[in-house]
Amino acid sequence: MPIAGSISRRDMFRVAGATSVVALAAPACAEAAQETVQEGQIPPGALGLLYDATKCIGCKACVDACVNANGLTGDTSLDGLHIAPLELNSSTKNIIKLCKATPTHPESFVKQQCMHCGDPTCVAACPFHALQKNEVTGIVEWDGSKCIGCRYCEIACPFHIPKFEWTKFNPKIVKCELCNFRLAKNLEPACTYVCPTHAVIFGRRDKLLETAKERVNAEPNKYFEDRVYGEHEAGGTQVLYLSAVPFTDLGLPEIGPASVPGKALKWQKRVYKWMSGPILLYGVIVIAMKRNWTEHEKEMVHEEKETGLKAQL
Amino acid sequence: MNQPKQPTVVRWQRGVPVYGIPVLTRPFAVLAAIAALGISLAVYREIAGLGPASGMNDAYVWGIWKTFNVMVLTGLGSGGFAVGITAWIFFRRNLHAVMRTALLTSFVAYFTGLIGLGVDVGRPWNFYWAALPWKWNGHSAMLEVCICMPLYAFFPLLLENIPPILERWYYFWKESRPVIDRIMPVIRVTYPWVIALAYALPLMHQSSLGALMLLAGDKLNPLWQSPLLPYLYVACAATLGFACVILTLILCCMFWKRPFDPVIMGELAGI
Repeated sequence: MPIAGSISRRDMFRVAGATSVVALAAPACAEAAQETVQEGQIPPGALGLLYDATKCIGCKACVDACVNANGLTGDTSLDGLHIAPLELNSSTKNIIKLCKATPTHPESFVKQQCMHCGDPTCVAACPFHALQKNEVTGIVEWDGSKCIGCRYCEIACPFHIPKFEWTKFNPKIVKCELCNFRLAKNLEPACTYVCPTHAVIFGRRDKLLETAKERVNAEPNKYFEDRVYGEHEAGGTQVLYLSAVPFTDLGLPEIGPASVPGKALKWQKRVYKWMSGPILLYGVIVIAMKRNWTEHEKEMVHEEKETGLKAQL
Repeated sequence: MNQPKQPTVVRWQRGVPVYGIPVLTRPFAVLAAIAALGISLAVYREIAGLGPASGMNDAYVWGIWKTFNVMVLTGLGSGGFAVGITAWIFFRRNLHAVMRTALLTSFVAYFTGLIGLGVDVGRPWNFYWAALPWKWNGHSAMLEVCICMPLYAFFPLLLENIPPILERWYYFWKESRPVIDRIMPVIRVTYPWVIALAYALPLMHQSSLGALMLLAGDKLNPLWQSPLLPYLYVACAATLGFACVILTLILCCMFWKRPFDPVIMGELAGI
């Protein structure tokens, strides 16, 4: 039996051809990359929140209102008595945290809940569209009938928002859905409804952005970098932040204007456009197989004669 | 069983004498006991939820679970397609001799991975969505894993593993011979098409496994945040596949005192 040598020249070309065909298919669908460009994906009537950290007094009325409105149990895991969540979790969709003072900045409160991104990474990650962005309101909503509980949304979310019910046999993904059940009854979200200082307000995103910019313009140098967090971050988010301290000090990541799916899936979307990549790959393998199969069969007949044993497939 | 006395070093070939070896042995019983323990723990997990059973939490969302059951196990199971591609597409004909070991290892690894995935996901009863292509999110790497893994394991990989079973019947169950004689030509005609699928699917889903972490965005070290990650992953999985096949072969030779072919092993290891 001959010892097969290294890859022949022809085989090398065959493989090189396969890869280059896949690569050539990519530019043909270059517009796929354009689809993921920022902002355009926030619907015109998108709803959102504007949180002004300089107005927040940290009373946590919104935390309590959120627990009650959403029928959550409230996280008492700290001492078994008080609702005192340390982080967003399966019984906390909204949290107020106190951020430590730094030598250059005073301490500040921060509110955390779903940002309702323009191009949400969780929606891009979700295999069966259990998380979807509402076409009218832009709210990122979870549908339990489609969720398989893979928790990829938790891995993907740049803001660490979706949480999983770890101790249930029928676990759900828990995250702020902007009180969409209250919106259906013409009520505003619980957190904005109870806020005594209007530190967090509810409205259409475009109106909120205007309000935020008015505040920035009215008092220059009050807000950090005179910037509205969420205007461009991660392709634009429907929840906007104003703060006197750097956003990173509040625990908000500086992630730049490009959305995560826009960056990460650029190449994948090209290769998988109309399944062209996989179909080409399959075609190339079939052609190569067909050729080699004939020689394989010949070799089998020869070997069977030689050894007198039936060749195995 | 009267096995002829064999030299310890021979050349492995495609055509070999077929022996019947008993299935129910002591190692089998030990492994079955471990499996039973695993199944009872899986039942506990279904009742108590993932947290208490696995120690995972919102900070360690996949823990060692998804990393093990889909990433490591399919990596170990890559032998089937890695050896296959090398033998068929790159024409290393010698490797056809170890193909069956590779395929069986692959099937066992994939099947275990799928069971692990079923226990690991929180809401496995919603998996039926996988059967409805118009409900898929085509951009999700996780979808690719959910679809391609079972599809590969239960269609091409299973078909690739059918000839050995038919062969066993052929030799040890005389009544089935006419039927098998009729089935084998059909298999031989369709085989190239099925095998091609058996190589395309794992390449797709292994690259998707690599792409899984791209969506983690800035949580991922910038070193890995690259469009090349899927291809690196495929290369890594294929290498692991070879390693696993080599280990399986060595173990088989030790347990059943089978002769050892250093030439083919060297070729496997050299790749």
